[in-house]
Amino acid sequence: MLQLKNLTKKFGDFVAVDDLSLEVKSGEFFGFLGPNGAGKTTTIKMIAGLIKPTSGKIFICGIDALAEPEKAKSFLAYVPDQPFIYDKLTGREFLYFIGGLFKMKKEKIREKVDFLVDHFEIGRWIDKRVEEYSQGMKQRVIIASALLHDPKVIVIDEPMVGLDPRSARIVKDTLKQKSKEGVTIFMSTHSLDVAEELCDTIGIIKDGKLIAQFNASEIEEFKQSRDGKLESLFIELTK
Amino acid sequence: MSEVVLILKYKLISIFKSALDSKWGSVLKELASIFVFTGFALSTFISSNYATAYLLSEAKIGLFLFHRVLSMLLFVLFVLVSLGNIIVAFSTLYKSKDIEFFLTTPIKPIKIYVIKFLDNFFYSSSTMFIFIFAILLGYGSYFMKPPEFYIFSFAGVIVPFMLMSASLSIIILMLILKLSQRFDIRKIAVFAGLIYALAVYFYFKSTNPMKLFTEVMRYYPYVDQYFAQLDPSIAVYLPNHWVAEIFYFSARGNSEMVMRYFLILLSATVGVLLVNFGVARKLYFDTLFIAFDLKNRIKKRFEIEILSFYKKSIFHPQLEVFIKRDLKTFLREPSQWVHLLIMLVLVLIFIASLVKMRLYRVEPQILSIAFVSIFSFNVFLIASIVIRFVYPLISLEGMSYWSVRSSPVKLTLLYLHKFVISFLPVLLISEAIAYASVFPFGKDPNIGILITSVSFFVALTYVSLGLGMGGYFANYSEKSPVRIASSRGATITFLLGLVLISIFTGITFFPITFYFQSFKFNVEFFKSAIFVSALVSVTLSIFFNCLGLRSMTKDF
Repeated sequence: MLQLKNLTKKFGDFVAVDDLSLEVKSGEFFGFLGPNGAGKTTTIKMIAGLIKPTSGKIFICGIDALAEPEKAKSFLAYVPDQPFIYDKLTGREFLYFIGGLFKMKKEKIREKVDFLVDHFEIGRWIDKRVEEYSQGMKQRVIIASALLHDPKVIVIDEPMVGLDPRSARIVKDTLKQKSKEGVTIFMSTHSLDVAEELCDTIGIIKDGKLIAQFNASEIEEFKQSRDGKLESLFIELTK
Repeated sequence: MSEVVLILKYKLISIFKSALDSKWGSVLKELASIFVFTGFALSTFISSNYATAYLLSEAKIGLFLFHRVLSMLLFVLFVLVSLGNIIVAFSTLYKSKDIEFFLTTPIKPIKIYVIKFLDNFFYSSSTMFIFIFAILLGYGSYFMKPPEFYIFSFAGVIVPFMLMSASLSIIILMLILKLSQRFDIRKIAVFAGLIYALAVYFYFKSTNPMKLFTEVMRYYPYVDQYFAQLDPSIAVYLPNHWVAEIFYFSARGNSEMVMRYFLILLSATVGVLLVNFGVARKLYFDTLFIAFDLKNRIKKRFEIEILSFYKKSIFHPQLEVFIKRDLKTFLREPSQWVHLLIMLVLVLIFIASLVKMRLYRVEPQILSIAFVSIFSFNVFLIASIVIRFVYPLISLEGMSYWSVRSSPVKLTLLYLHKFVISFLPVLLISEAIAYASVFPFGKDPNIGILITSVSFFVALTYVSLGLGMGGYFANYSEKSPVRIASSRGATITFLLGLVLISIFTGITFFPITFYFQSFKFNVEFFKSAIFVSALVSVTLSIFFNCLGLRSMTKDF
């Protein structure tokens, strides 16, 4: 469903992502972990089409995202690490804007917006301008916008930043539910608890290279052989 | 005072550090900027020197008339600096990120004000300084002035003159904000804009350039004399008049009168500055909180039903949401629509003056000068509108650009949309001015065809320039369109725009001069001018649009 083949990104002499290859299957929840500056956000931005890779290939639902970017992106949803939305639009207008970008019908947008506003408990804020929102409210609207067009792949960068515990719970449950429905989720996070709770597979990136990849049973096995904490594994691998 | 010096010191360090970035790309950009600025200063110097020599030695309009024209230009400059300062000052003094930080420190608000006032003044006037200094050099070298003339004229005359304009505008801004507690700020802003427009209208109505020209020319060849009796009574109270008088008496070697007007200018500047700081001491702190809270106090919001996202549209869904998003964000950003309104009022005043102007029984040489002046001013207006509204368009995608870039949107469609929404209004304004420009020449259809055709290509070239360069220098993290339009990239674009003015003026100058001098309509001359304009325009437009489109696909 999501495949990265020998993906490399260089910024001048600096190699941010180095020959990265991985595959995330349909319905798989993939946690992408790594220390600061490891190349997580760069990888995610390349998948989302915000950064052009220096070399390598990206396949989304079997479509070459570099050769046919528009077709590939129509199956994709991206949630950035910083919740930037147009300040002068209301949340509802932003959702309609995203719906338009994905060429959705107005009736379908209306139906989905009503559901998502209710689901993420956005309430009356949806008709206020974004400039009046808190960071968490912006994050809720952005996550809602990602689910608007029923994507097959969700790429999400640090989803819990700025969310209160209740909102975080809703987001976690929604993502898990989507994964069960067959949506592929590629999530970058610093929160090991979140990764452990949600992910079927965890990949660890360091200095732009994928240094380890574990499925749930392997993680459990590894934890049992140590102090029972994912944190120890992470620290050991990234030191 | 030590805090002010400390903050200014670190501001300068930060400016120099970013200017002296050692990356190759930055070095190239710096070199390109230096090249453009130098070329611009040089061409301004040559143009200024040539214009002074032409008007005084060839057209022989005399020292008095020459300096009255200068006075009118200075009036326009005063208004432009003032307007520019009001709009940039709102961003710098009230909206910049460091204000909130300064407020948490034990620095007195008046000191914050002084720092931001200086920041604002030099930020919005830096290009103007280069421009004016180059003009001064061109002017002074005609009169073979010594080096101290330039220092005195620049530091002693021009800087106080501009400081006065900047101070006045910020006083007005603080009063607008204070009044917004009682009245709707949008109404006050429109009212202030109308006052500016009326001031321009009444100034030109009272000075009546055509009448002044005819009156002075009756005394030909004794046109260097001092015809103060022809000045409107209001003139003596205006700073542009004092500056023009300083230059007039300096050209005539009357140092006593130079000193007299210099003292008047200096005292008035000190007076306005004192009032400025006095008002700031009383109002700045208050108005800061009024500005912070501004968006919450606008109760009744103006909405246009057709722009509703919920309405169905005949456009392609992606195009539809781009149009609605851009128009909505434009109408919801006061600095955008207020500035547009002011510019449109100024354009309307200009059109109204052109429609009323008649150049009968005038020498062919003067007719050519009049045509060139009107045409180059038309292009200048278009250039200004483009820099202010088209240049920021790509940057205004802002940090939310991720939402477009990660969607199944062809960036060509987005670019095309930006081009069309810029080109259509600019073309409309350009053609309206072009049409009005034919009136002074007895609605001559031949001139009409030439100027309207060339104006089409002017609009095409300038929109492409604005959009292309705006993309190349895109700064997605800057939210304020005003600051984007006064950034270094915008300055370079504006300077390129000024070079284009001389190219388009040059193209039209020869057929028009031949036409006025021989009273023969040479169809080949006119056709060639239109063809050359088209060629220049299409070539440059392809280049700049490719640059803009390429820039939109850069890593985000």
